[in-house]
Amino acid sequence: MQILQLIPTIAYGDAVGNDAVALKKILRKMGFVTNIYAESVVAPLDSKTAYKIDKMPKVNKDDIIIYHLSTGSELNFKFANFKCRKIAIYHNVTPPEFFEQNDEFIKGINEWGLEGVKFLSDKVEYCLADSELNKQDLIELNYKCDIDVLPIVVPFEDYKKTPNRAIVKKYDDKYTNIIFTGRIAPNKKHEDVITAFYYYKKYWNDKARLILVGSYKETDLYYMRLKKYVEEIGVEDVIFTGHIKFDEILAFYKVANVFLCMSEHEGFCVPLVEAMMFQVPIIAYNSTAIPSTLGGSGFMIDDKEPIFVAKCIDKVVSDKKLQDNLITKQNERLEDFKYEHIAEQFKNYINAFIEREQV
Amino acid sequence: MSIQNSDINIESIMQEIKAEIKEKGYTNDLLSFNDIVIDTSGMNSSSFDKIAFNEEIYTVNHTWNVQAYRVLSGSKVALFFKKAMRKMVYFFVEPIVLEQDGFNASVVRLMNQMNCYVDETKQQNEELKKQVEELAEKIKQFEQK
Repeated sequence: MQILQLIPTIAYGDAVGNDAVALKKILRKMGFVTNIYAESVVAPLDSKTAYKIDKMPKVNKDDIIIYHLSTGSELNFKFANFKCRKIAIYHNVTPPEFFEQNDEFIKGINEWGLEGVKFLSDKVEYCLADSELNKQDLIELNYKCDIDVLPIVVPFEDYKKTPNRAIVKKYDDKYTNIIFTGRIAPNKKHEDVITAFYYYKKYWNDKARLILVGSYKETDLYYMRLKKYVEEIGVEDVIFTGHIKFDEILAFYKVANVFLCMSEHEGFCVPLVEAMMFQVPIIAYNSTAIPSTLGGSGFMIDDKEPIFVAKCIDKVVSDKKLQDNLITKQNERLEDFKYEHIAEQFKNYINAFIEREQV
Repeated sequence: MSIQNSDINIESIMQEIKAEIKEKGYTNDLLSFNDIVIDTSGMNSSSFDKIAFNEEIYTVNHTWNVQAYRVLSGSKVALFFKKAMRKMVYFFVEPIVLEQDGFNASVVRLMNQMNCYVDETKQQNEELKKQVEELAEKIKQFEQK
């Protein structure tokens, strides 16, 4: 019996791709013949990580395909045709309305993605969801099969690599570094991070820097609007890093004083776990999967009023006792995401599925 | 798994912060992000402009062929190093440029075909329009009889 993973696109640094890679390692350790197959394997990744889908071997009835469902793709529909046992891992599709004014193309892709999720509702035998929110989404979309929650596997070992020295040297100064990590996308609400930063700098700390770590295309309308916004309101020290290397991401976490997340739609939010790893106190807006990933840790806020958020930043930066407390709670929460825990959970789910769904 | 925050009460801290902001009279008068509009007229044309189309056709026909080889300039020493570097990277750069040129050439040929198609369709439309007008005139004459 083989357990294969299917994914529309696998790219370096992508959370869904990382999850697939981590699951491949666990499945190998469990003794299964396993590999990842993708429609598109984006360089620098190669066949060491995943094969193109045309290299996929023939599957038998007792084989299992695990499909990573997160975007619009032809594969969402083709997946139903495989004559084997099927599991979907739902990473969530960003609601298309977030892209209404910013990117008609992505809006269309996400609409297509949601169609695919609906289409598969009666065609898979079992689902795993990154968060309780994702599980509820599937139930609302009429999934009747068993659904379990399995957080994304975050490869802790990778984060022990040495952070980029040049970045650490450049930004580890007297400035307070506020960081947010995530692709520049409208659902992540970078504009709210920027306005809060504007007031933090204006009223509480002129020596502050906002580092927005995340990829963008120069022609993305949302990115262009954000750049223009920064110019129009005249706030300085806002850095858009664009796509950077992993050791550079690590460096930005290392020099960060606060992690500020204003996102309004997250299926899991890996950067929260990353901030926990780097002992960076988190301030996050209470939305979608954020509370379940934080699990009671972090400074979760219920209001986006920028002056309020700015004062929260000041409170976390200046109150050492609060800061220590936040980090202690974050460290406790981090334990739940340790590789061993998630791997064990995944093994149990897979074994139970195999037993339950005997061919 | 939920963690109980026993030592800190974030809810009460938030209330204190809100009270402090109210007391100090801070107000948010910042420009709204919703008011930020990017002029996309250059990116998304709403109507076909044959003159602009012809200008772009002219440009792409004259610029599609990118050269990997560059003529260098500078002082004798700088020129020496630049030439050495050019030689070292040429094996890597040249195939990429050739591949890109192949793609560019296809796109330009495609655009030229599109241009012919636009002209032919325009001509056909004009002829058909003329025929429709003639037929309409004939119908009018028959009706009058």
